[in-house]
Amino acid sequence: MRSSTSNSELFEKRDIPEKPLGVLFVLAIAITIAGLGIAEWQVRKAGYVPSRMLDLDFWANHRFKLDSMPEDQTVLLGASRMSFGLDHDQWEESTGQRPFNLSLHGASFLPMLTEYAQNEKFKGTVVCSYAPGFAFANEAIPFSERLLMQINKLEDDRRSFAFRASEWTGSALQGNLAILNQYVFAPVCMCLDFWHTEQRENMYPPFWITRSFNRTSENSDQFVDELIDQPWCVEQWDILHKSVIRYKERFAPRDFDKLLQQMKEDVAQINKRGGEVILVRFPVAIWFREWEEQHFPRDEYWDVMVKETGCRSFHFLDHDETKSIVPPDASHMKVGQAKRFTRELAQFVLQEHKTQD
Amino acid sequence: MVFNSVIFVLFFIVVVVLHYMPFSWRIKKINLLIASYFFYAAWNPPFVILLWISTCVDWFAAGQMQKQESRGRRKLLLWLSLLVNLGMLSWFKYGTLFMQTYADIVAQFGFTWTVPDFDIILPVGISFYTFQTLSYTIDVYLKRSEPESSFLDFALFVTFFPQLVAGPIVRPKQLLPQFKSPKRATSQEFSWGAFLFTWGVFQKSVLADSVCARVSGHAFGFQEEMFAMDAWLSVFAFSAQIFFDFAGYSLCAIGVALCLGFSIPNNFKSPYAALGFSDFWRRWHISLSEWLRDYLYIPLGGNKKGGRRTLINLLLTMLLGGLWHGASWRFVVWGGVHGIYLIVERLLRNVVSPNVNWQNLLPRLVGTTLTFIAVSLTWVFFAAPTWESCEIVFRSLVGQTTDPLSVMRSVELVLVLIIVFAMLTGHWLMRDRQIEEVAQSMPNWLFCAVWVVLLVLIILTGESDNAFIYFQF
Repeated sequence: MRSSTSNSELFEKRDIPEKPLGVLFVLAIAITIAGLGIAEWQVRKAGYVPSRMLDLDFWANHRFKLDSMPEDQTVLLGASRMSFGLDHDQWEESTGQRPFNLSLHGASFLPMLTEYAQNEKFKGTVVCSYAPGFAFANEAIPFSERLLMQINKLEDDRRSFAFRASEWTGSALQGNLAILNQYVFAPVCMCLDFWHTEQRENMYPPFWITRSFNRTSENSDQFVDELIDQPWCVEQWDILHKSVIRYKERFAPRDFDKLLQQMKEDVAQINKRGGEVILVRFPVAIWFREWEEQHFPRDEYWDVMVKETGCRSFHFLDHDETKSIVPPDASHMKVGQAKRFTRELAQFVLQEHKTQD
Repeated sequence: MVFNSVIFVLFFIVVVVLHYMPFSWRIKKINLLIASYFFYAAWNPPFVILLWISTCVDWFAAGQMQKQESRGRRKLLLWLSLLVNLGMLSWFKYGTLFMQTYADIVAQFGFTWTVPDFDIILPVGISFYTFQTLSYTIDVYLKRSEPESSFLDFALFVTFFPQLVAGPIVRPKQLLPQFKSPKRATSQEFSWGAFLFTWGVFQKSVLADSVCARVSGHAFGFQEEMFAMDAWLSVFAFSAQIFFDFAGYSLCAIGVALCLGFSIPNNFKSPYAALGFSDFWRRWHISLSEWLRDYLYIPLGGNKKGGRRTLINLLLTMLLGGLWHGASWRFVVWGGVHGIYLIVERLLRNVVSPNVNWQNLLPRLVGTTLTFIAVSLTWVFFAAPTWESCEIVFRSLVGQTTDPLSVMRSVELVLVLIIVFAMLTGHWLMRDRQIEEVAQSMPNWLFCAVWVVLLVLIILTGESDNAFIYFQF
């Protein structure tokens, strides 16, 4: 057999193996489709449901959907505590409007708030989840900057047909086929899941996603109860949280005064248009709260932020119904807990409105 | 639009259906041209204008060159082509770098100059199509080839979507003649093209993105000291990642073109089995190495102007080759280190080679391993986003750290070891073989089973938001 083309001056026809390639091609496609069809049937029977992949492309495409929403749309900003902790169905039942979730795991709500404030069209309620470890994370921490980088290129992505189309195909495929749940069935995730108990010394946050939760097309997350209740799963989340914390401790937090100044401007802009910003502190386990209190004391951060911006605020410790909630993994609520918390939060928002009326 | 996306598969199905409809060859070429513009515009529509400018200027320049007898006027037309193409490349790719460098230099003398914020966006693949179209005008200027008579064929040569954004950089003589007569892949060619495409996407999505990138991303992105073992494995992981990413893209391009009935040359030939650095550059990104050889190294004098000048030419070529890769002085350093490798190899050749029998297994194994390690170390300049990051990685490699981190879990460590070992073994075994030969020697059932496994792993891995590394070049 001749060697394939590599001479820069001459054109040669490529060599083709002498095999019944056409038949093998059709056979390979047919076996693959049939195999995946059977697998889909089996995993559905086992209780798995379709789940979207959490990445920045998904987040940006989700953000574009906000453009066609009503101008008084309620928008949720924050990190994973928001995506796990605010139940959309419950919120809709309590307030009459379905919320639009723009939270992103591991991200600060502040750049999102600035982006929202700069868009003259929006004048709805903005519910911001305050997680101090992410809100004030040093810009040298890579995961703290990825959202800002994505926001900066939103306009380029908006123009890109390929980028927008990836959402259509993602929604059509990942949104409907459980076998395409990458958290569970991607080969590398299966390997990571299989060896889920080890932990090396001084580990960098292992950002791998367990199969312990499902992600909806509305950008929210729900724990799979039977998994998150298992000790090994809790242990994995514990490893994740503690390594994130340990890593964050290597860096000083960002300049609070500077961030506060920007936040005040953003809130003022939104208020001026008739919108409202509400700050929310989601429940966390005691050890987690102690760590946050040690590094970001309530009276120096949360209270100052609430006072200076003039925002209404809902701190889980200030309400009898929510202060006893203990998330299974220390930081994110289960569906039942999220419903309870959301009901209280919605009542708080509505009651305050009634008081103002 | 990236090859490893569902939207590309849908786009390609439409292109294939139109290509195999009973239209005239001219209509089919127009279909391919429109598809190519659409493929490019799917990223950022305004940048299609750059393709049009490049196409029109080079078409005009080459056409006029043929009519001009005066050497001066021919040279003027060549300069027009060089200025327009390299001008666009310089502005979009190197504008910020040059301005920032100027600002840094004047700051050394106590002056302050603020770099204007032009917010320049890099048009994807600009370096590839610039070099491709330049080879056309230079060839016509040097009378190596005649200017193309059909504007449609020339526009398709500049824009042909399979290799538009990340190569291989195809020469006029390799592609233009293929547009002259109707091209239609046989079922054998189409199926083999589909297999190459599958193999390419597997390399990119499964090996590069889902395993290697998650490890190398930690090591190079976080700018944190790490344990020496983590540092070494991360460097090797990046070596694997960049190979699978780029070779995967090239294979996809070859496969897609073959499905349409076109042949595109290979761009990689088991590069990590290279014995020495000149051998490495005959195997890595072959189309760029050959371009640099033919349009830079040889015009500089090559090895015809004495020993010292040869070494200078080598270094210059590699420095510029480094700069071609990206708007950062780290790429220049990367190219410079490779240039030094080539010089040292050249100087040692007469000392070492006569005393070693390179046909024996042990010297070959040692030489190949050392070449791989040396090449892998240069990737640090390529992968690290800052100079500080380079320094941290090099310090970590030699254990000069105070509070190192583990940047990979045990399972990731094992996966990287398996992938790197399998890649090196594969390259070693495939050193002088082609993938076609391997497929030929496989039983049909095994070939089909491999294909199914690749497809299933690709589908289960899914799309990621990692673009091909070479798109930024």
